[in-house]
Amino acid sequence: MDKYKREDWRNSNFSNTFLLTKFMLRRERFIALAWIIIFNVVVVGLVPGMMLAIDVDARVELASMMELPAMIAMIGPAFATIYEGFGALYTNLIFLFSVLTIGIMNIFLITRHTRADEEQGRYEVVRSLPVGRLANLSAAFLTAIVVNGAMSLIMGLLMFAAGDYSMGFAPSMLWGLIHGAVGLAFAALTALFCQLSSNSRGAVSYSFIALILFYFIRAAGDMNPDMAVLSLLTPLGLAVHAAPYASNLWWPLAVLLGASAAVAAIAYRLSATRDIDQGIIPARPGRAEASALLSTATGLSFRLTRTALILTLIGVFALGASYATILGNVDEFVATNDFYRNLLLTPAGIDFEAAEGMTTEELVTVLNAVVNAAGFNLTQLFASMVNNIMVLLTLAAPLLFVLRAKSEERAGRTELILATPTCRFKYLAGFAAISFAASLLMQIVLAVGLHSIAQGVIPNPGDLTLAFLFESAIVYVPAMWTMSAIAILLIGVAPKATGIIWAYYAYTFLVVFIGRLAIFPEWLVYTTPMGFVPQLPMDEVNPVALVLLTAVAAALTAAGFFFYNKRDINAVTHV
Amino acid sequence: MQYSVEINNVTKNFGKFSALKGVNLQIQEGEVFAYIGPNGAGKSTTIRVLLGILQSTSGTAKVFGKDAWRDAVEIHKKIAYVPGDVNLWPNLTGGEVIDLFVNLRGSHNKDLRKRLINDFNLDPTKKCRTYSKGNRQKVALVAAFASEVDLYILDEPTSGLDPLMEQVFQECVLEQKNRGKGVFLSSHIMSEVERLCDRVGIIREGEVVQVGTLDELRHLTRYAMTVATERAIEGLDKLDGVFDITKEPGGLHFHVDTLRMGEVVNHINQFGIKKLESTPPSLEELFMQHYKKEGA
Repeated sequence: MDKYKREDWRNSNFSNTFLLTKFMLRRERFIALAWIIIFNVVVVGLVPGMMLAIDVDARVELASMMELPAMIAMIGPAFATIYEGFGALYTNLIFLFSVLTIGIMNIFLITRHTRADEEQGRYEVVRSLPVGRLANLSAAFLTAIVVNGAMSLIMGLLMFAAGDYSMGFAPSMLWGLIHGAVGLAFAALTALFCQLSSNSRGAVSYSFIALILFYFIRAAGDMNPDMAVLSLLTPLGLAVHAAPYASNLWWPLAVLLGASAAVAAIAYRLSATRDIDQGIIPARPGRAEASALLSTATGLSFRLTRTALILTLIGVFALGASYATILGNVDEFVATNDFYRNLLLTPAGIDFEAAEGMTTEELVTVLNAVVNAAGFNLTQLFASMVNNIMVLLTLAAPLLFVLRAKSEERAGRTELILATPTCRFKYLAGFAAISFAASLLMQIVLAVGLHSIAQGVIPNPGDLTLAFLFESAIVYVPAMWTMSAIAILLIGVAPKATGIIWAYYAYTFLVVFIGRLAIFPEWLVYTTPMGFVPQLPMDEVNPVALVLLTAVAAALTAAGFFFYNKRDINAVTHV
Repeated sequence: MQYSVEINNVTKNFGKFSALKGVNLQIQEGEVFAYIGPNGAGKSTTIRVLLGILQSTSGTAKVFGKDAWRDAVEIHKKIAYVPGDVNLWPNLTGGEVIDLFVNLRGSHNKDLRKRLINDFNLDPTKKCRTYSKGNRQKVALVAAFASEVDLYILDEPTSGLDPLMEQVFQECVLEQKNRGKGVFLSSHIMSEVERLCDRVGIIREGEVVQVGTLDELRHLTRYAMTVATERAIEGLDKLDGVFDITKEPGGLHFHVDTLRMGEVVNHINQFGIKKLESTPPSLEELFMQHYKKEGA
């Protein structure tokens, strides 16, 4: 660099930045639009419904629930009281996860336009054009600014439009702008990691590790007043500290933007000094030889899905454990919240109307009496609901594992394996076995996760034994297997239409979840495998139904294998 | 004579499109056979039928006397396949993929593996995502040649290799040929075909239009000739099999059908030959002729 005059350096390094930005925005337009629409539909779209659904009593309850240490660890410090109105409560509840999601959007956005392009050789082509050395990075930043800016403004305006009196214009804009600022902070950080790592996978991994660390550092800071400053050292802590609709602090916004600019400057500095395709951290050499695992096709299937399987199990455990944190005061929660009460009591066939003018304590007493009279206890009913919802949420994982057989085929890698003395049966069986095993493992881990925390928080640990939790989780396995088996059948019969399983999954989700509220006709749940699963403690374990369900899964799987053996293997790359 | 590959009247339809329209091929054991033809002619489809990855619509395809579809697993114990587009697992290293393929084929010769990795100048510790097309091909080639098999099915295996590596590849093929192993090679690189192959089959629009040794194929084409004579040649344009006559400073230049060569030389001889140069058609010319020709 010292060979060249400083002015030259400055002029030539940024030339054509704006043209590149236009090009990037063009590539980004559908993805960005999808993010903005879906994100706003979910986050802002919840506002009117929740505003109506949560009455004054529920708001008091919600505010006090958010003061629990477990909740503070999960969603940040409790800043909302009933006096600030719905806006503050809602923000307190979802703000952390909402800004975190925008962070994730930016991790992918920046990686896509910098390191991933470089890795694919596209950046090389761009650099061969009369384009400055730092133009691409600058264009990526400008793109991030435009996308985050649009997200911020649209979100702020929508929040203002959707909100009640407690959600004024300026706080709504703060709400939106903090999202954008956190987004830019992660954009800058990801850009830095894109210089450090020599490949996009590394850059994304580093960024996610940073995000997770920020989350936990923030949790530590939020939970211990002595270490409160820790929280403010992270973008997530800063964002929550701004507390829109409550304290309405604007300085975290300035700090976030300033810090983003500083990190971006470091990224520029590193980008200017490194060579194309190189990272500041040299790539670690991998294994020169395969482990014993890679001596069979089944071993390969396991190797390909191993990381995802481990992450899924950790996720299931963590979700189960975090659901269990609510178990400590589930009776208060259910007594005062209509929605949860319906979700919990309707499937048990218990009718409970809260009488006017009762205190929460009286409500809890009455409620427990009613539930106990029906032969249940609330803790078990709650665990049953968690099981039900968790299965609906996590069912995607075993489906993804078995559908890997099809994505391998599309990527042209299946034929490489089938050109060796590996029969198709064995090849497909590897993915099927992992899918089936994953369902079983996930349910075991869920029971253990629930149990681990539940024992510490529920008043009467005997209500929720590990045996009960195992039993109520494992009864779902045949239904989960049936879903995987349908996917296998599709892989065998209609490999181009495996998307059908996702539609059926969405349908199952809807019917079973909303089915809990007894809105749909009852027979509808029997159009999904989940309908045949006994929900403990309300239902008895029905071995016949479970065996039949397993038999159906086995039959569908066998049919899938039969047709897979007969059809052509099609890679998309070939004609 | 034993056939390693026997394809009888194989057709393959994809919906309304027929990729193969009755392909016939017989390849002898230990033979290096070149399978050439323009893009989209059906080379890869033929190979994938041979591998039992696609099922032929009609006809029979046999490898080592066994049915390519039904006995695929048995057959695959004795073959190694390298595709033209080598798609590998981005998060496995080259070394891991080589071991995977060799393990699946059931033989493991560590010294051979080491030597091949060295010859092909491959870094086996890198993740496949970082490999260029050429390096991915090297991974598949090392895995193929490190396996103990009787037939190598190679589908444009060197399209991403540099000339030095192309040389290494050719040495590998010749080594296997000397050991009596067969090779079924689809290729666009004529020098490769000329140096390695015993016989050539040309496929066009789903039909095999020519099969034979290179010499046999040359017989079906034209030589380029330049002739200088004492007296002006008369009546040359009236002879059958003479084309494209042009006058050049060194003499007359024209093309002759190989089969008419004798008659033409006899005719020219009457005019007192001072100089006669004949150039056999280059492989490129040979193939271009077949690629472009309407029908066989």
